[in-house]
Amino acid sequence: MTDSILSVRDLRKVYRKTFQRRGGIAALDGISLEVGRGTIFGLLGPNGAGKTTLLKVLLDLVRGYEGEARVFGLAPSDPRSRRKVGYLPEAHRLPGHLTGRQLLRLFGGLSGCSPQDLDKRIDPLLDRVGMTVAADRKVKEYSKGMQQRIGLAQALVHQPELVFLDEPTDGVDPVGRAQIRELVLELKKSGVTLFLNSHLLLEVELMCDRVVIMDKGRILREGTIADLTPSTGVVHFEIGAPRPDLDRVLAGVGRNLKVDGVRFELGLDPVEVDLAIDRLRAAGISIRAVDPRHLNLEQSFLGLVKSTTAGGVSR
Amino acid sequence: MNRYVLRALFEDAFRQVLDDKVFRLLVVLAIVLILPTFLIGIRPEGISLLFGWKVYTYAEVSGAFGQAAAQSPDIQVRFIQGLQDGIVGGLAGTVGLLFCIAATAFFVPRMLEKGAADTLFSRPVGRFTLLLARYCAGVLFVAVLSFLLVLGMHIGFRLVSGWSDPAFLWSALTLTYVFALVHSVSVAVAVFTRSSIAAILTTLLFFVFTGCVHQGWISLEHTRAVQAEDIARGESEVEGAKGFKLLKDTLDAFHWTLPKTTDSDFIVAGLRKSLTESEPALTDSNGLLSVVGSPDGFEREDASSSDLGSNPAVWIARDAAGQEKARIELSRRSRRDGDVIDAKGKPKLRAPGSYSLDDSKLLEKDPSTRDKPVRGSRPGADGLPFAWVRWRTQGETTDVNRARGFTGLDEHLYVVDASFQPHFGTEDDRDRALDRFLDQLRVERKSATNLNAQDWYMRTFGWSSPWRHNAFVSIGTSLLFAAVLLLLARWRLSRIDF
Repeated sequence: MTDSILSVRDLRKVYRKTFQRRGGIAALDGISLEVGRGTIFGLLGPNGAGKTTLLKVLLDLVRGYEGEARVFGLAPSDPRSRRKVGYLPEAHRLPGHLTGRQLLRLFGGLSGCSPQDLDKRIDPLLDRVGMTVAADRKVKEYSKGMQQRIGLAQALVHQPELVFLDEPTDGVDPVGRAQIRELVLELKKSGVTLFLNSHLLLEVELMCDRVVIMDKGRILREGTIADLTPSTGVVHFEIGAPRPDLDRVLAGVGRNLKVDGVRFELGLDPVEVDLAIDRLRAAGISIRAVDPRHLNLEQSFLGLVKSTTAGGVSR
Repeated sequence: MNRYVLRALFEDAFRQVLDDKVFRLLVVLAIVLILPTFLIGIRPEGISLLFGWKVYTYAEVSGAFGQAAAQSPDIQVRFIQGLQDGIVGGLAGTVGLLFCIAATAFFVPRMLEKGAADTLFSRPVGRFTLLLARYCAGVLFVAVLSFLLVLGMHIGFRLVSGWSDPAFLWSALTLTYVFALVHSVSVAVAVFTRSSIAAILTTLLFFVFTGCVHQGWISLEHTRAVQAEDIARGESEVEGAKGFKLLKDTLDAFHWTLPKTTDSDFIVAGLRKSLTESEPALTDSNGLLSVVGSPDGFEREDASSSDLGSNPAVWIARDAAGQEKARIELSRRSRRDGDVIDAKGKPKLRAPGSYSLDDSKLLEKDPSTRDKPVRGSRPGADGLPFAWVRWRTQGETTDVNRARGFTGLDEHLYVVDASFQPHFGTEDDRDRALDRFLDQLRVERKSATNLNAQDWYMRTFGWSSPWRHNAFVSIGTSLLFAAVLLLLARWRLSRIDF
């Protein structure tokens, strides 16, 4: 991959108690991946898969790992590696004694932004996350959804090039979720790389270019959404009017015909699709829609995780 | 780290402090303590309420509390200094600091909580920098309160009472300094345990423990100094009992390791002394005593000699016609004038009380003595205990009231001999005149034998003292302790996985 912004190689992290020398819980077990500039990278996995640990290693929140990690070409222990990084943690606790506006000034300042730059950025940012009205209220008075919105704003206030979002829509209402999705896509358009960690698979499917599925500290699969949602071999058709003789029209083409009024589905190899359409047209049947069915991300994810639990790892 | 980061950290620390409910409560309490200094004037003539609406003399105030009339030339100064010491040194320095320890102990644990730490430590700022920022927030908390209290009281006393010791302002700095030392313990414990409760309890215990250690060590040092003086005088050859060597060594070890929090009081006291006390008018050239100035109404006669052993100093008060109405003499002689011989074959040092006893016996036999002489003790200035004998004697025309006081300073016996003519005034007037005279006396040597541990340490401790009692060493070792704790906290913090 060219123009890599983040890379990890054979990353391992074992959590041990203070005086424990051996054993412990392996949170990361040989992770290797590379993320290019301007992509939205999804991180999926069940609880305890190691997703958050991976983010925390990259942000220097978790130390004592083995292997190599690089963010903008620098080791995570180098604070300069975080200059252009934004992070919205899962279940974050923002300083309650600050107002939303003061919070953005604090985190912007900690990232090295000048007060003049912050003056220009904060109001538009508050507007983008829908927090203009509540900007001068104390954070401790915010609802869960408002805290999530201001949390997202603090991750973006210093105009980062790489943003880690851990459950960004957690606690946000459907309208807010749509706004956040829109914002994420806007950020992608402006060249920002996003690392999205979410349990909401639909969200990941809608937003991410590439996805990594993890379990028990290992990568089970990595690829584009298309790679991870292969065709099921079933094609869904919608026709102009119900036809009781469909099994006769399509005799010898495909398998497992299931008819439901004007809709039917048929198991077809890719080369059989044209043949099926020709048969239907020859029989004078009007075709309204043809939809080859794919596995959705959830089905793909569950299939992978179940196979790992059963003992196998597919790559 | 650029200046924007520093500014952000400072603003956050300030806002965190301002948002703290305990801080706001303490601000209100500080104002409650400051307000009376603007409403009550402690004037030379008495205590004035609400800008002169009602004025009480010091005698009236003393009487209201069932005390003898308190009179001294510098009663206003003493009164104000007493209030300042009581409120800032006593109340703010103990109860106030305990409040502050409790109020600031959660700063670090809260920062290290999951969720809060993730957001903060993912910024391009080192963990230790962020920890130091929280440490400074705690120190700022106390600094603001201390300066508010001290400056407010200072301005109040200056404006309404007309006097306030400028060195009092140092108290704000020393309160902050003491808290900075103690707060390092709180921060270190908080990083290791991530618990506010553990930080509060440990720090409170530490604060009390270190105070006890330091006071104990001062007593130990005083005992050592007394023994050294005994040896120097040839009264003792061994340096005390060896039985408690382990205890003494342990106390020494604790003292040199732990911060010397109580030294701050001595630093302020030393500064105040250096700013408020002037050069003495008379210093006994071969002795240990000096006299700051003449008491009110008295003037020194023949100030050519400064050797009280050969020429007693004399102060005389005269009436409008120039007639003598009171006289006070101060002289010195040796305390080794008894019959009891010590192991070295020298006469033993006599206690001041034995002189007053001998005097009273002689006076009883003297036909000119009117009533039975009365013996008593009277605390003099600078921690000097005086043994007194008072009597009335037949004068040329009328009876004269006499008083003679004895105090010992090492080898020396100082004798104050006073005589008052009847037209000088009442017994209260005579007492007041003696008190004013004793107030002028200062011990010029740091003699451990004649001083209690606190007064001795007060004199011994200073910026140019030997290293054991040196203020720079005290501050240096205390700050070193705080620095070591912060470095320990840094070490632990660098190993935490959030």
